[in-house]
Amino acid sequence: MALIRPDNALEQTWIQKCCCRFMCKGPIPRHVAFIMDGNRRFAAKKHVERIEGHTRGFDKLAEVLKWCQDLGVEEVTVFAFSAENFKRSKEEVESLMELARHKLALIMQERDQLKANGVKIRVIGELKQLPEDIQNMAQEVMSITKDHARCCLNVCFAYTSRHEMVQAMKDISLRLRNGTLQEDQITDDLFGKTLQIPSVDLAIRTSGEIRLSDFLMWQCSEACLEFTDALWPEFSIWNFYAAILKYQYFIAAKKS
Amino acid sequence: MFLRQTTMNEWNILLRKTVRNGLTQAESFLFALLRIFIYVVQNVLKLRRIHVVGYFNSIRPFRQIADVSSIAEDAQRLPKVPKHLLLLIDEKNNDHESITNMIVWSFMMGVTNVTIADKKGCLENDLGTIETNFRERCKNPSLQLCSKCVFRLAGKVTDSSVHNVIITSPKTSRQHFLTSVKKTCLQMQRNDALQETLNPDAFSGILDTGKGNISDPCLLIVFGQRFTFHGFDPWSLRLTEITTLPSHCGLSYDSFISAFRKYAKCEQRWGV
Repeated sequence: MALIRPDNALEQTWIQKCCCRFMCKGPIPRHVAFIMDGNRRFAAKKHVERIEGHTRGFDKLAEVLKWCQDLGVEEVTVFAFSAENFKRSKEEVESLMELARHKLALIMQERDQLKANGVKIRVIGELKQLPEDIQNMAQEVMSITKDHARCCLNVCFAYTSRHEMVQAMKDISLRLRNGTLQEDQITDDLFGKTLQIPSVDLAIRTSGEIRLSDFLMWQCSEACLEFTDALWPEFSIWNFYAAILKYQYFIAAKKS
Repeated sequence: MFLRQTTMNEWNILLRKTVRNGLTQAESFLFALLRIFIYVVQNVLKLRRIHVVGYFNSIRPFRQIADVSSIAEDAQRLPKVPKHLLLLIDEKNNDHESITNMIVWSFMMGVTNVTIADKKGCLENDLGTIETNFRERCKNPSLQLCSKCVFRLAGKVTDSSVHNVIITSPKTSRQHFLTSVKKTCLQMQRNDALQETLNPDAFSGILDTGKGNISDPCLLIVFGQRFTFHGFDPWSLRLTEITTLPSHCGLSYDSFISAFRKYAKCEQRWGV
């Protein structure tokens, strides 16, 4: 299934449209991050193969992107694969890589829709740990969408927040070494800007887990957190709207 | 004829504008209604929770405070207890009585380190008061176990005890992290080998030197209306289980222990 769906492919019911319009009256997060957890538990629950759970998870991502687009969310970051996930069984890691290959190829075929919708895609993480062909495909997807500016999808693949922070420290030290940065310029703000992903407004984790598992730790330090019991493939528009409402309360509480 | 048509057109435009404005206002009104509805539902849910607690009163009374034996019983029923508890308070006032209660309950449950951080940073000035309150409570013979507890501000390394209470604020913890970042960047600038070899474990080692061998928090309880980290040091919270309670003021034992029950249900999979 495609990542970018045509408008008529995910037609909302009138009540969903109404809710969407009501939501837009309040503050909308600029950047939403998702930990797409629960694909394997979904597969076990439905008595299907694990890979089927992951495939359904990707389909859900396409749906969620459409909901975000309708609300006017400018940037979405998803935790697709943690560097820690390489510890899983060889078969599962291989099937996940195969799924990534297939989906990246599909995204490349969608370049016209991506251009029409202005979607920029960035694949972020320790890409060197991935098979070479996937690294090349990821680079190509990033290069064909780099000039799109309406919204941005960051896919964290082979990612951990600690690695990202260490890489930022290395980048800062290189700038110190070549003289483009002075010691007193190393601030909270500079460190945040050196990271690859900007700060998050709303972080959502599915499947009832209540931790961030090394995902965007710096970026989420002021974000509104939402943990929902729904498994990722079962995450519904109502779960999403509930998270947005919580964000609106969060902003109201911040102002008060 | 022409004049009449113009007037009709103006009327049409005016009518459309009025309808559009009316719709926008109706939407705002409905949005406000929706928010009120959700607010009411949330409070009804809270009331229902109280009702449920009332239902269980027949089995076990709701406990505002608890004695040592019932805390020990609760601890035995839980499959796991956090070794390091982080309490993050974002409220107008700090209730010292409740804070002392939470420290005592935590130690009785089997927690060894309690870190308390308040958004405003006021608790850092109240370290002495919190310690005095706690020592006063430890005069009770059943609480002798925790009397050797060490109270300190974050970053002030002293000899760690079996039980430690660390007082900090999100700002202080973040500043400590940034100081380590700056130090590491400067070291890397001078040392090529470090630039190549630095990894998350190595940086954790640099950070831990200021912590006195206290591990990262296992459970974080956020008190207040906003469920967020409030800018707390991001490095130490990567695997921390996070939960929230509306307020720490006048907190009951049963509400506090609900966070421990939630933690006990969590399963760490370490990526597998």
